[in-house]
Amino acid sequence: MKKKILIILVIISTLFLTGCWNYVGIDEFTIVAGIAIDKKDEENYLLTFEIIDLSNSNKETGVVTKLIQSTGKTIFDAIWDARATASNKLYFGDAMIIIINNEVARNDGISDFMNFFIRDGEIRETTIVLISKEESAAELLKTKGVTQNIISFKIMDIISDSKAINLYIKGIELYNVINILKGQGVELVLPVFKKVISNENEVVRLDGMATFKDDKLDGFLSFEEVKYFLFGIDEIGSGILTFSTEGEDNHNVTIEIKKSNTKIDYVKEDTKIKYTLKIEVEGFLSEFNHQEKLLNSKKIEELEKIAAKNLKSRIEKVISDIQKEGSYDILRLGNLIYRKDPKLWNELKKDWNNNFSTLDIKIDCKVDIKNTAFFR
Amino acid sequence: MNTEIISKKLMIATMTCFVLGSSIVSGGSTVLIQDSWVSVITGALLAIPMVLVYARIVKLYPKKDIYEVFLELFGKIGGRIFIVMFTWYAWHLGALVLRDFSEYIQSTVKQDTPQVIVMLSIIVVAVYLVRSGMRTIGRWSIIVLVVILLVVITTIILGVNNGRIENLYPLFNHKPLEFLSDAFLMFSFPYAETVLFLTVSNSLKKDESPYRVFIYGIAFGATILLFVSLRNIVLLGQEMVRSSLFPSFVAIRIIGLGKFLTKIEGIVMINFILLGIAKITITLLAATKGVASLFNIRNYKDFTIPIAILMVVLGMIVYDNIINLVDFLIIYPIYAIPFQIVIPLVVWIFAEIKFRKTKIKKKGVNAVLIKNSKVYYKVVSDLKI
Amino acid sequence: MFGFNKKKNKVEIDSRISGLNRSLSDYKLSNKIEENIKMMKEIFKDNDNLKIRKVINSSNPKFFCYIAFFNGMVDSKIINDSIIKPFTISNLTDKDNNITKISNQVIYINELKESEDLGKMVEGIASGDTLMFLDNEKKVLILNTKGFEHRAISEPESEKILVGPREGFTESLIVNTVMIQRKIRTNQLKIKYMGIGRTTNTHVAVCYIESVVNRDVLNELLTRLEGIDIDAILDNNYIAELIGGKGYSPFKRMRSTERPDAVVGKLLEGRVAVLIDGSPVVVTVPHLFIENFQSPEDYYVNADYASISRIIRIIGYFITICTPSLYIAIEAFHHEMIPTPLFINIAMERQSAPLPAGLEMFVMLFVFELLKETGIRMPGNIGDALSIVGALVIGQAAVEAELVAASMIIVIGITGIAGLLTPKLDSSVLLYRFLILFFTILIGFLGFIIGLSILVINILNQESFGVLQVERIDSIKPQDIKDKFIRRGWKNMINRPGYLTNNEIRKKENG
Repeated sequence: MKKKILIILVIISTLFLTGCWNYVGIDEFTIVAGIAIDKKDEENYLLTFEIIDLSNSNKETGVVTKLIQSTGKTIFDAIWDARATASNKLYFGDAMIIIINNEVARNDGISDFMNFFIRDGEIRETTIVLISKEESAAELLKTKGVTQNIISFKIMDIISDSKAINLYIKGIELYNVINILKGQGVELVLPVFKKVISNENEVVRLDGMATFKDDKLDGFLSFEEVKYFLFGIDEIGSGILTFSTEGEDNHNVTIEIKKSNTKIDYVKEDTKIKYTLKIEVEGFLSEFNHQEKLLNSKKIEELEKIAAKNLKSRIEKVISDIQKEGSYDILRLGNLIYRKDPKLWNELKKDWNNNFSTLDIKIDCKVDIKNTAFFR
Repeated sequence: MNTEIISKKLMIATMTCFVLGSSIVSGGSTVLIQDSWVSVITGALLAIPMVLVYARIVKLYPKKDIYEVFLELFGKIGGRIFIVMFTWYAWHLGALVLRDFSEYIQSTVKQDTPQVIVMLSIIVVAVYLVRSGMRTIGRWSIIVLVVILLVVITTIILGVNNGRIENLYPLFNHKPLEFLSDAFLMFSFPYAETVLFLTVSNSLKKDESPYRVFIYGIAFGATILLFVSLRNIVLLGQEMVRSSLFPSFVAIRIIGLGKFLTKIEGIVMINFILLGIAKITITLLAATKGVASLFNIRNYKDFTIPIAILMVVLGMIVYDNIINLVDFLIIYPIYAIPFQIVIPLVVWIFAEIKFRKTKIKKKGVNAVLIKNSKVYYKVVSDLKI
Repeated sequence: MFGFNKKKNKVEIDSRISGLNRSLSDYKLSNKIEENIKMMKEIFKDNDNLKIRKVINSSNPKFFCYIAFFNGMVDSKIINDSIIKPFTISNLTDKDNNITKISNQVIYINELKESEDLGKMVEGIASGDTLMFLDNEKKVLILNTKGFEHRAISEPESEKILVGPREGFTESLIVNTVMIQRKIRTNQLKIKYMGIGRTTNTHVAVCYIESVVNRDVLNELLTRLEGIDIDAILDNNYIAELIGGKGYSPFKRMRSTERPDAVVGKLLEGRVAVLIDGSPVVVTVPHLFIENFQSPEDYYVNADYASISRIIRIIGYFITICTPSLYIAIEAFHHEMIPTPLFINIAMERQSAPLPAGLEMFVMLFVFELLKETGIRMPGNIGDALSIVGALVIGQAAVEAELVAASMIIVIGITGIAGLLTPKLDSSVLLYRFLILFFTILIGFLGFIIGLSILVINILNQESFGVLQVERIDSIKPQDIKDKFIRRGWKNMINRPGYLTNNEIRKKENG
């Protein structure tokens, strides 16, 4: 009997140990929505966190966010430093984006950061990594959201994979960044954001992508270039093709891309590798100001051919630009060889980057117009 | 109804849960990265001959567990030595798995909770199961198996969206020696650990075939493990698989459904914990029975709590940190050879010899009754040689 | 000081009630009727309900008898018309003065016994029989004149249904057994009486249907019943505890019900029913876990609707146990488990709550139990007002005063309502709710799973009279599921659930 009483007492006393170990009530920590990495000076990193300010948020004002900054020699150092400013422990489980200053990426490389973030259990592997084209990455977090109070979530929405937002650049998640950094025959390409003024407010804007060599930033691809580049690696989600028809009816035609498929294949001839990219696009006709003649099958076929030709030439240009300037395999052509024929890849590995510019890449395009919306 | 005798189906379910036990967290061995799934199959194939030996031992001594077999074959002293060795193996393995699990839980969700607490709480359920008898363990295993299947299938369906098949390539990009060594790794961990089921062999109904039990158990376990391993590779990609300590867990974090169901790894934790409990229960059962037979006590249930606490203690001191654990995994196959291969083979050989002897004797005696006395003397004198 | 006084009082009381402690073996019947009557008066000394009347035959005044009965327990009409009247007016001569003649030709009683056994006599008269003493006769007639007041047949309060029979058992054993017999009009129905309890000698009836009953269970039950040695049986729960089996279990090992149709249904499946005089609750044995979720109403409504109802009940059971712990687990430990927008909303709201969630949850659960208990005990009108006051006003005020968080109230509300789905499992719900909550507070979601495992293992371990409460897990046949978790239409249920009985299998002959 006495034993039973003792056990019950022990059990009841744990009620009051409500601070025991990992018991952290929801109201006891600070939710971090996004992280921005800059460099303060040669030695120290400057981290900016966008936190959700729960004490000031309520139903009327909606969610209110604040910015916290901290410095440190390494990333983790800086996170610890943040405790001096924030009253609670920082909680990274909901952090959606990591923004890295382009200068930092260019000079120091991002693999240290990536290693830290992936090792940490709290940060989700699906966090999206971005580059900021502004002076500092923190600039982006200081902007105002148009529809969403939390900037990080806003940026996340722009770049996310969901079909609701039809931008063709998809964000690259942390675990994929790791895979690509250490992968064979691939180089990293990350989305880039910058700040613009719209309606007297500062807002963020997606501005193309950045190319990397290993883990250091190398160059930028503009918005337009990115579109055609994405065809090359089969990651185009949706987008539009605009071109003009030749001849008398010199109209602007716009085709909305619904589905796109790129097949890459290679052929080894002697010592040269020849690549063939077969690109098939399915689209809806969105803008076409027709003349008296309404659309018929023949006209559609004509448009398809023009579109394909147009697309092909643009992709070719972008790819040849990449080969000339970049010389790094952001098109993941090497990876293809690695996957299909590892022995061959082992031979070519050493000089791959040098030889990249000399690769022979042929492109075949085909466009299918499936739909013309409401109108003929 | 006896709480110890269970049917073949329950035993198979228990064995499947055991095989999946700690391997489901990593989806098997990840040494071969994109070819890890191959080891799941090759390890199982490698294990089949050994497992048939185990089944044969059970067949030869249907109503006895291996401790009684030890005593019978090797006498009081020799048998006891074997019992001690086997019990040590079970005890050590239980502590390893316990530590493995609490490390996993500590890394992923509970940074501050002392590992003792985690281990103690897991062992509480194991103790309850062991004290409830084999029958409850079997029935519990079936429920767990259903849950596991549901969760694994759900995660695979959800993962279809995020997975990339090309992560599996390049196929078979490793030397044959690497394949072999990895197969051997899988053989020892987890397949041949089913040697511990020899300690519960007296729970099987008399006319059930132990061969079926062992083969099906390994086969089901391997199948589910194969799917898990494939899912992990397809979702994670090479580098992540190589360097993750808990690939299944990371894979689950990645998948999601739309914007809403993005964080389901907590639910999948159920999977891991239940299977961990299953495996620890069997090791606890084996160790407890061993200690009980050492002192010739029939009712092993009273030993459960002390052994459980000792297991926790051993689990605390066995490693310094998790890298030790990973390193140990490399030499584990060698360490386990005596228990998984040598002892069963020895038992098998001795058992077969004894079995043959009794068979001949029986045959001889039967012949006596039919033939006349002259033949009787002849046959008996033949036997004496 | 207290001890001293106590002892003295004990001696006094002892001597005063010593008369009570004289057992029946001290008394003996004799031939002389006067002595017998004197003995009766002494046996039932101080019980003023006992009435003894001398009945004299009108034609032969030397011919008389005494009848003894308990006032109120007998049907006066029967005594007057069938005993006193015929005895008084019939033509009796001296040689008719024997018990056989009297019992066969004079009095009109449908059930009578001759007995010399004092024990039987006392039992009889205490049940409402009349004892007839004759001169020069050692044997006594025990005449059935039972006619005590009992509650009319009405709907049982605790097992109300929307559609279907509304009969409920009453406190009279005869009436109850009759209710069962009316529904099973076959010679296969067996009803065996026993008397249990040293002081109360309560009538207990064991009912079963011979062709389908599970004989092992029946034997086990009878053995256990015969082994009961206690002063009094007042209610089915006494029996349930005494013969339920060893060990404490939060789960009931016998199913109790107040509805005859439920009992009959269970008898047809091969179970055994135990009826106790004085209690409207009938116990059926063995008890399967799934029975907690079944209700006879399932058979009076559409099959699919019934199936859904059953499944909702089962889910509700787990909801009421798990919800508080899940809330704590998510809120305090595993914030990753809920989608971000929800998470932010809950976080915003919890800013105002002063107490840590675990403590708050304990307090709120306790308050809820208080409210529930009060609601049961209070008479009708006050009960309504109290629930309004308690639930709405206090709850609302607590939230606005920011003593508790609104989400907590919702969680408690869901828990409580789901708990009302299965009132029979209350004890296990209470125990496990707190057990799992305790584990969860300690180590988060892991603790939740461990607590849940303990619950499941406990359920798996439950036995009822040698039969496992959770049946064949390894070989579930459609036959088993058809009537357990869901209810398929009658056309589909051809066989009896084979688990309980080894006998007759078919429920319907055709099909």
